[in-house]
Amino acid sequence: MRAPGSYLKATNCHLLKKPWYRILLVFLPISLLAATDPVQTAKVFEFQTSSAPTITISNLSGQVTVRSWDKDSVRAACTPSSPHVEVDAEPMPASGRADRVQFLTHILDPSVTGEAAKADYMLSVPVGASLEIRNRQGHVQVEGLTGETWVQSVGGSITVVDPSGHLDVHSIGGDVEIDRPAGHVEASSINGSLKFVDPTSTKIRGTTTSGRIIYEGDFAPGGEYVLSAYSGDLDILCPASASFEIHAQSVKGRLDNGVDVIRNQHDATPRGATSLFGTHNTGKARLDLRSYSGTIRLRTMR
Amino acid sequence: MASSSNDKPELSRSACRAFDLELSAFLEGERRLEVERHAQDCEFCSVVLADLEAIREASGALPLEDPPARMWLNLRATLAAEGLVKEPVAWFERFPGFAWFEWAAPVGALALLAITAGLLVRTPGRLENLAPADTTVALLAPVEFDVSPELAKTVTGLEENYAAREAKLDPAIKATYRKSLDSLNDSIKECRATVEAKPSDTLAQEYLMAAYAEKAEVLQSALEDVR
Repeated sequence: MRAPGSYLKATNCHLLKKPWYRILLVFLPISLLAATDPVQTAKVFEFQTSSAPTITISNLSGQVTVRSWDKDSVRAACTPSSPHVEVDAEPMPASGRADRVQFLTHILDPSVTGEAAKADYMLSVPVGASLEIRNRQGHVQVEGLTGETWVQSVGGSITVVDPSGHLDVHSIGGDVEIDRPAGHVEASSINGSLKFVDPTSTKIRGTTTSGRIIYEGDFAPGGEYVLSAYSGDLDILCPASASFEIHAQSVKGRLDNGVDVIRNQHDATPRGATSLFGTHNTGKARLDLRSYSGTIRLRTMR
Repeated sequence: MASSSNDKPELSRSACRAFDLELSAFLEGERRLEVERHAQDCEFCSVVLADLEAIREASGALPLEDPPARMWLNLRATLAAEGLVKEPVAWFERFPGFAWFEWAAPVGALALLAITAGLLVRTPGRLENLAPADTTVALLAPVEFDVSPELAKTVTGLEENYAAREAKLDPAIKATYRKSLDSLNDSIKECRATVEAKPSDTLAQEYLMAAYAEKAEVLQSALEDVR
């Protein structure tokens, strides 16, 4: 085993013997550390709220996760990515139980973009809370709320799990996934895909331009499902017991039907479109499927 | 509520917050000197104000679209199901003795139809006189379809406004907007070609209109994001 300092002696380096070089060797790492941004810690906010408050989050970029809990309060851990980003929260009214809590991300230096302009949010909110989230870039995840949820993103993806209130989600470039929705759903994207898993909603409306639409699950009796893709494919996978009246039409795309459908005699399809207008089982729900050039596929689960 | 490292951003934010609160009243035409003053001092808020004014001007030119007929039917059905509206009841339905009145109108109409048909059969020349030859041609001619000039003008205006400010956007956001606008431009081009080739293709017409509306929404969103 080598004795302390023996390495210096062994190297026989003349530079290390000079005092200015030793000073440089000590201060260089310190100055480098000082130049880099310090690690940002989470800023935690806690507010007592009503059982159904409205929570608003306006963020530029970052991950936003909102989960429900069985308390009448809001807890938020917000982590800015750099000192150029600051997160502000405002309850309304300012004293007592808040009916509305607003979270806002500020960029202190307008020239800052990309990673340095991010802020991540992790919120726990009452089950009955309503949400309004605008997050330009980054994933948004919302779980288990019964209030209304509105999410808008430019490039981020959006996942909503077990929502039972009205849902309004839009991303321009990101994918949207909605698992087990029970309330009315409006979802749209331009370049992203839409996925609906096991819905019990009676009204779903989804549109995308170049993305796909995937619907996996049954249709509620009396429900109305309007799904429209432009160039992306539209895949419907439902149980054989599903009961619906279908009106599928495509301008230039294909219709690939693997479900027993009794065609209706009076087809109201616009002239020029490929179409399928008929009934599966007793026709309790109504499906309106459209595409311009994408393929519409209809399959039953095995 | 939030802690801040120095006072300047805090002061600036409170002024921006006051600006936000007064902004809608200002845009509705009320006199708000503090809004104008703050917009001169704060670059960010001046851009927000300029964008909102541009959107307000552009949206003023948007055509008023009637909702689809199905919406009214659904609304009526929902209100009826909730008992908020009731189907109108004819006066004779309230009196059982006059129930036969329900059949009076259809029976009368059928009788009138029979008399008219009889007269036409007896004088065949009248049938030709009722339908001029050029009506048939007019009915068979394809109906020209295009988006309204106002909507196209609005979208062009928004597009020009965005092109002038696009450089200010975060590169990742700009790329997302560019990609979506390219997709929508492609779909507008394709739909337009289809509609020109098959003017009766109403589904292609719907996609064309939807693409224009989505493009307007994307451009508005992009203009809001320009800092």
